[in-house]
Amino acid sequence: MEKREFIIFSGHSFRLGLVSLMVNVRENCRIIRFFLILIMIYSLTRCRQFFARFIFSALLFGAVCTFPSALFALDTLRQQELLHLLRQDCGSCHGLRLLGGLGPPLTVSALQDKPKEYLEMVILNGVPERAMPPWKGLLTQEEITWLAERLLEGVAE
Amino acid sequence: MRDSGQLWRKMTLCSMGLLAILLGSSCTPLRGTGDLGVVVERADGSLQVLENSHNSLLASVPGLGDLSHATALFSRDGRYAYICGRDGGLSKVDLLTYQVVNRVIQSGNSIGGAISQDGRWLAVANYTPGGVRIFDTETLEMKLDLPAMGADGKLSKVVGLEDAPGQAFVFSLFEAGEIWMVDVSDIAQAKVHKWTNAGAQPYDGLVTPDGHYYVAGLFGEDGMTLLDLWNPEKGIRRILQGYGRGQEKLPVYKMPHLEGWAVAGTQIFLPAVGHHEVIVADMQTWKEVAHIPVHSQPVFAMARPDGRQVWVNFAHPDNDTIQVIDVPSLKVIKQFRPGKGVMHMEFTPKGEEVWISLRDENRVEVYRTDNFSRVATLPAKSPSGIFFSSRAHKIGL
Ligand code: HEC
Repeated sequence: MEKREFIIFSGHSFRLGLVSLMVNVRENCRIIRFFLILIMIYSLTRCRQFFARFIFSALLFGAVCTFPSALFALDTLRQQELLHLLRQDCGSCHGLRLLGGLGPPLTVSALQDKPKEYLEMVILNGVPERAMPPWKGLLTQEEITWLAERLLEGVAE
Repeated sequence: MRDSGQLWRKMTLCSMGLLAILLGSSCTPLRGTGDLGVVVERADGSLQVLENSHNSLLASVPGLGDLSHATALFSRDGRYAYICGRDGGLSKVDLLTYQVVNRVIQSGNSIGGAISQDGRWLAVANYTPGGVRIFDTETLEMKLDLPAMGADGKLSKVVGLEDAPGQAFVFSLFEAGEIWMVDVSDIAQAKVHKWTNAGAQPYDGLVTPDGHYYVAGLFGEDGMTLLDLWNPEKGIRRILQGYGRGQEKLPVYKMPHLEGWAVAGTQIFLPAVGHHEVIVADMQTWKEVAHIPVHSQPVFAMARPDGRQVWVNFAHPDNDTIQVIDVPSLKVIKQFRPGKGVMHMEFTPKGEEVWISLRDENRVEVYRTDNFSRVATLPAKSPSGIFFSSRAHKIGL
């Protein structure tokens, strides 16, 4: 909830509007998924024929599992690209090992008191008048969230 | 008698063979170092020693620590390369034996360095703790420690450290916005001159090839700061102010570099910050003569040694492209995409070829500068900087 507000407040562009919509959709997905599961349980109790019941539930289960993640999860290839970006391109200012350079260190200990939302905001919008550029034109909200999570848990060498 | 004669003959044969093996292994033919150089492999913390007469890689030198952003300097005799890494390590590498002959950890986080006019002192610029340390090029013994305490009372990151005529080093303080010059003619009594109010967030600097001017690029404002090294008592002045002329600043995904000459004739080519332009200024008046629209945020604008072309590479996400500016017409005459992650361009001493590092493609490529054809492709792991020993004899490199 907080996050959504923050995104709407911090951004002015149409793009950001879209981003916040996506966040909404993602949350709505949970509700959709919940209803799908209810329907599945209901149909299971209703369906007489074992085989049909089996197929039906398997299909539903598949849909429930893949629908949201297929839409939103970053595939492993993209994750690797992002890790490369983090070390190399963020690294051009923060150091290849993120130990600091022109920009401050981005190690777990350096970031321990900083909330994920703060990191996301800084990466999304940059720091005005400072050398930290906004990445919103190059990365999606989803990717930025993923990067912030990696930073907080520590990026393995 | 016959037996012992045979034995004798066998022994001579044997010892001659042994001698041949010994000689063969210990005496590689003599060679100079004028065509040698290094490629920094930043992910692995290693160097590749290269030669640019036949375009080949000679050997790999591992164990140099974190080499992101590493620069190489060369001893005056051209035999040794000094590598300053991000982990504060300072290593001295023998280009002929491919050995690390000395290595010290000098600070937490270093960014670049310079060697004094007489070749005796090596200065290293540090981010944390912000300051400059000066070492003996022979022993790597520290001779001077100069914390970059600005007028704001805080330690600043040091950027744009260059050697200047008169046994001096010049550098800028990123946070404090100052330019300092240290005279090391007498290292025990080094004299420091400081210029405050040198502009908002200087990010790099250059010394013109004649050693006449120091130029600091500013991140925090559209403009640059000029120090006349022949007349330092005249102080600093702001040049090229407001070069963006009200255009909105675009995000800068990688800081431009100034070091590396972009001087061609009487003109100097400078990457704009936050604008997709290369600015051309006249070095007599320091007024803008032209600004050339380019593909993206320029990182390096490097002049071919004869000054007839300027090669430009770009920041992420356009770092797969190179543009070549023709100096007489001030037009982009060539654009090509060698591959992902163009990090650095280094010209051969007389400029007929240029080496290009492609970080994300894990290779280095060599191009002819007259017809832009590729003449060699060499494997290297995540290559960043390429530095030739001919830098040893140029001021400000
Ligand atoms: C052009 C240089 C540059 C690049 C590239 C860059 N940063 Fe930064 N970054 C900075 C600077 C400078 C700061 C400090 C800003 C300030 O003064 O508050 C900073 C601050 C940050 C902070 C806040 C840290 C803190 O402790 O408050 C985060 C998080 C961050 N950067 C993440 C990233 C990520 C992730 C990337 C790559 C997607 C990146 N940066 C790329 C220069 C850069």
